[in-house]
Amino acid sequence: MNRYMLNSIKAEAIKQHKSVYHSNLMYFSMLIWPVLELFSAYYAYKPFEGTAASEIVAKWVGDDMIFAFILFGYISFIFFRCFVQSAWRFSSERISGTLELIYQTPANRLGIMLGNALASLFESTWMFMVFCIGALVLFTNLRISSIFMPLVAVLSLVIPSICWGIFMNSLFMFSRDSGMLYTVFQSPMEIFGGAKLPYPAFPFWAKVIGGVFPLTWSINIVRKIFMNGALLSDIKFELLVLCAICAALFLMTLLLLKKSEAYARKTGNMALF
Amino acid sequence: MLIAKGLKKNYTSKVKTGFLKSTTKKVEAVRGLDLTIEPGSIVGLLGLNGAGKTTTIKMLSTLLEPDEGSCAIDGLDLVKDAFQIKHMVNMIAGGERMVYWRLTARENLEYFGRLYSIPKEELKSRIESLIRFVGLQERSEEAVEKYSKGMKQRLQIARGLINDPKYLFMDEPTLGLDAPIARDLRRFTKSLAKEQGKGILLTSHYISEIEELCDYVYIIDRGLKIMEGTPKEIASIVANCTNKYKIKLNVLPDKLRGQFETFMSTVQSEFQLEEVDGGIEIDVSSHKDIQSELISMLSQQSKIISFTAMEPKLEDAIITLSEVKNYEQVHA
Repeated sequence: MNRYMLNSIKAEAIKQHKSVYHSNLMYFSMLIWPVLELFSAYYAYKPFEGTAASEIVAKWVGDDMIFAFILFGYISFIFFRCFVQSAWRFSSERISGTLELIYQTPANRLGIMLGNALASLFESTWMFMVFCIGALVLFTNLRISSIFMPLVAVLSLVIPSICWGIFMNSLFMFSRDSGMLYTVFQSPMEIFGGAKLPYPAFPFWAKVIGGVFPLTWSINIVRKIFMNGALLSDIKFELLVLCAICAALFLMTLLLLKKSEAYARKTGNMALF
Repeated sequence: MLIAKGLKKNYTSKVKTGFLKSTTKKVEAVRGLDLTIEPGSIVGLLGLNGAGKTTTIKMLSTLLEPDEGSCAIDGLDLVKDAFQIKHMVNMIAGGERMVYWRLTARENLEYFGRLYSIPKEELKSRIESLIRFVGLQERSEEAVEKYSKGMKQRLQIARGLINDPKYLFMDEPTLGLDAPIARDLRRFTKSLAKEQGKGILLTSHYISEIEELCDYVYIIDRGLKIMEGTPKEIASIVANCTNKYKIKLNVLPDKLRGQFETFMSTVQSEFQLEEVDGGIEIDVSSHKDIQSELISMLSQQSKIISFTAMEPKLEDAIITLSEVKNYEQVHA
C-alpha cells in the first residue's frame, strides 16, 4: 500500500466522518432506528402465528428463537446499509462540486472509496456491539462456542460490507443517475438476503438472487455463531463463498473506478448533477 | 512554461426527439486552441458564456482529456504525465461550491492537503500561512456554512494553493462578489504571480479585471480563438468595436436629418431616433469612433443639449469580433 493510498484513506475517512457524524445524537439515532425496524419486523410475523407460513419459519429457526433470529438478521442488514448509505452520500460530492476537485488531485481513487466506506465503520461497529451485548443479556438460550467467534462474526460483516460499499461507490462514480441503484439493490438485499426470513426456506429462484449479495452469507455466519454456537469448521462454506464474492466485488470496483474516470474525462459528466 | 497547441474538445449530448426517441448532437466546445502561460505571468481567457473557457481550464487541470492537440507543462505531457501534472496545477472557481460546508476552513485544507500527500509538518505550516494569506485566521475553526460568500471564496483560494501549484487556473473567481472583496481577490491574484512566480490563467467577464491583472489576453468565441494580445491592444479593439453614443438635440431639421442618415449609412452605423419632451434623442451604435464627426455635423444646424459616449462593453466587442470572424470565414 503506497503513501498516496494510505493518505487518501485517512483523509476521506476523517472528512466523511466529520461531515456526517457531526452530532453526538447521531450515535443514539443509530440505536433507535434498528429497534423500530426490529419491532416492526417481529410484529409483521404475529398475524401469521399458527399458520403454515409460521410453521416454515419455525422449522428453520425454532419458535423460541424468532426474535433473536430477526435481531441478528436486522443488525447485520443495518450494518451493511450504513456502508451503502455512506457510498450513497458520496454521490452528493457531485452537487457540491468537490468530486471534480478530488479527481483533480493525485489521490488514490481506491483509497478514497475505502476511506469513504471506513468512515461508517466505527458507528456500525458500535451499533452492532450494543445489540449483540443486549441480545446476549436478553436471550439466555444463545450459545457462543468461543470468545473469538464474535470477532469472526464482526469481521465477516466488516470486510464484505466494505467491499459492498466501495463497489456501490464505484457505480455512483459513473453517472449522476446511478443513485437509483441504491433502491434497486436495497430492497432485494433486505428481502432475499434473509434478514427477515430464513434463507434456506426460500424457493430456488429467490436463493439465486439472495446468494449474490454478500449480506446473505454474513447473516448466516452471524446467526450460526450467536445462535448455534458454530465453530470455524461449521461456517467454512459460508466463509469461502463470502471470500469469493468479496474478491469479485473488489476486482469489479478496480475496473469500474478506472472506467468511470476515463469516461468522466471524455464526457465531462463529473460536473453534472 | 505551459504550452498548449491545437487543443480540441467535443461533447456529445442527447437531444430528445420524441417520447422514447433521441438523437445525439456533437458540440464543439474548444476548436484548436493555442495558448501559452509563462511562470509569473497572468494570462486572461475571455469569452461569452459557452465560449469554451471552462472546458479549456478543465483540460489544463487534467479533468478532461483533449480530443486533439497537445499540451506540455514544464516539459511534461498533459495526458501521459497527468499524475505529475496534478501536483503542479490547481483550479479555483467562482461561487460557493467546491468546499465542505460542515467542515471548518482548517479541516477543508487538511483534507485536500492529505489528498496531495503533503508531509504532516509541512501541511500544518502551509495551512497556517494560507489561512493568514486569505485573512481567515479568526474564523478558521468555524464551520464553512457560517461563512459569508466572500469568506468561502477566500477559502477556495487557499484550497487552490494547498499544493503550492506552479500554475493556477482561476475560473471567474470574482463572480458575484461585492466590489471590495473582488478588489481583495485581485490583489491576491496579482501577488501570486508577481511575488510567488505562479503562472495564472484567469477567465472573467469583466474587462476592467482583465485590464488590471493580465499580461496577455486570449479572446475565444464558440471554442475558437478570435484574438490575442496585451490588454492595451484588446482595450483599443474593444473601444473601436463598440462605440455607443446618446445624443439629445433641441431640433432636427429635415436637411440635417438627411445629412445624418447619409453619414450613418456611409460609416455603416446604426441609430434610433425618438422624439422626447424638449427635443430629439438619438442612440448611435458604431464600430468606428465617430464622436468628433457627429458633434461637428449636428452642432452646425442644431443645438446639442447633451452628448454621452457610452463606455464600451467587452461583450459587445466579443460579439463584433465573432461576427467579423464568421464573415471572414464565409467569404474566405
